[in-house]
Amino acid sequence: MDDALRQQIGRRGALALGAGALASSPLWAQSLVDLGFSENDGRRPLTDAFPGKTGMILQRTRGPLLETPMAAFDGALSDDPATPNDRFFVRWHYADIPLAVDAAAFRLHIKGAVNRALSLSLDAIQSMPAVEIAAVNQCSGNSRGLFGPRVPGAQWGNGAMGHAVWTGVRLADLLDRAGATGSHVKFAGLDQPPGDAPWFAKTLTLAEARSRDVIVAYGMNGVQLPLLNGFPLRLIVPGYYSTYWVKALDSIELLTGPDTGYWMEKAYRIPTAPRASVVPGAKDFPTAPIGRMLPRAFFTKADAQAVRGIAMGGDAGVAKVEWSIDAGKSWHAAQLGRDHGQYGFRRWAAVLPRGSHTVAVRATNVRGITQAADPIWNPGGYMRNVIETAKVTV
Amino acid sequence: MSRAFPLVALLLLLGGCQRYATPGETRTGGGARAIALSSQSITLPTESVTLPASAEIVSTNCTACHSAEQILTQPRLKPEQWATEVAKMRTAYKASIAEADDPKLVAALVALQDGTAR
Ligand code: HEC
Repeated sequence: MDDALRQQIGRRGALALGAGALASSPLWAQSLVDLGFSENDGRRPLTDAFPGKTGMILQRTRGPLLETPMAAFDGALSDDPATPNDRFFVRWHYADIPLAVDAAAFRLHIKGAVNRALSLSLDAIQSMPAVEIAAVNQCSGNSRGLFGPRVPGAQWGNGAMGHAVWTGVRLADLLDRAGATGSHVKFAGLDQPPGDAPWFAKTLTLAEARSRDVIVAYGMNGVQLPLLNGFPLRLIVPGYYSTYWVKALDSIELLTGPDTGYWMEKAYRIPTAPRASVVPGAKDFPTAPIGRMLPRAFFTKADAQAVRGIAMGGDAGVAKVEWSIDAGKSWHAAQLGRDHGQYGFRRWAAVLPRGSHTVAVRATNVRGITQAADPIWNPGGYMRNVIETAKVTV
Repeated sequence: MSRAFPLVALLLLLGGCQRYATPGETRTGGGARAIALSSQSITLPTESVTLPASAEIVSTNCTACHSAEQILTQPRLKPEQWATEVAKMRTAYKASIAEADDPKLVAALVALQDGTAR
């Protein structure tokens, strides 16, 4: 571990944050951000051009891929860690996304292996018992651009994630109303594929879907969702990667067996090997659909004024965040901000001794799972959670 | 009084007071109704990034489903990797790209990244 961290620091020169991400002037006032990728290919424009979005890193215009700059996550320990809706990352697979939704005409269909097929209006859904949960939504490929060797796909820095308070109804309540039977639940939304490409749909087992934390949300940080984040309804699967958090959800289908569609059988699959890691270039290894997230800690600021950031526990609460300035030989507890529940961001801050340091930070969740310094590799560029480092003089 | 009240009261008594610890039912249904749902419609910006004229074969075959940034933001890919991507577009997403064009396409994609296509 110590060696791995030392090597990593040596090799990457503590670039984890990307030069631009730590610039002292507000990022949205600049026109470019640098995500710090190995081929010096991480420069991206910042854009205000997408409705309801401000200061976003433009990854792709059509279908939209917008990343949140790390500075947007920054705040004092006592600040709410929620990512504002106008800074929340955007990720669609296909270009044909819903650009207009009539709230009165919209229906959520529950069909397939059910005793009563349902077609529910938003009013009907809002008249059911409401629940709310704070949860981090993180793209499976968050940080893909930092993989080595590099892999094709959206070249995200660390900002394909965000924390929001989601308000909605329990999926289990909807499934009960429909009299769900079968073994799996397939979710699809209003986005449409080009030509004959496969419809985007994701599937959970019925047991996963019935978890009390899984909700169908109509609220994001106290207001309706932005269209770009899935208005009017979005599936929230706390602790799981974003690929399951189907946007503009209008179809819930009960299946009597696993989903054999492209987006479950071929895409979003990870090696079954420990840490989802294989030797670079490996092929024909066993895979499984991506699922639960891992703990991660990020820097949002590392300068003479403050060394601080956000952490997540993955699929369980953050137990501790620690920092090291001796390449992982010794670790010290960081201060933690308020706990917003096991699935949310937790703010952290470190008080370092004077001097110039390469500081590493790692999160450990309540299951005892912690971050490692040696990076993982898989061809999809999924599940990166390597220990982050930053250079700082205090 | 909502069903959730005793739970909320209990959490407060325990000093837990973690508003979002697990989904807790919102009090008196107020939370749900407080979120007004109204129709939305947006217009997306048009893309500004284009491929050089010399990469016309890429523009023709590769920008129907996604904007050019999808290609321009990729790390340096070897010819075999580009060939795999082209094949993936055809098999996974049913792109109608003539297989006979693959060698020319791959060469154009590599040239784009080399900066030899201007
Ligand atoms: C029929 C539609 C279609 C066409 C035509 C098409 N693509 Fe794609 N491409 C896609 C879709 C869908 C994705 C996945 C997008 C996502 O996940 O956001 C994709 C993703 C990609 C990616 C990202 C890596 C990956 O494998 O997901 C690359 C690179 C890419 N395409 C290159 C190309 C090139 C080069 C061409 C022309 C030879 C091309 N595409 C033509 C639909 C298409």
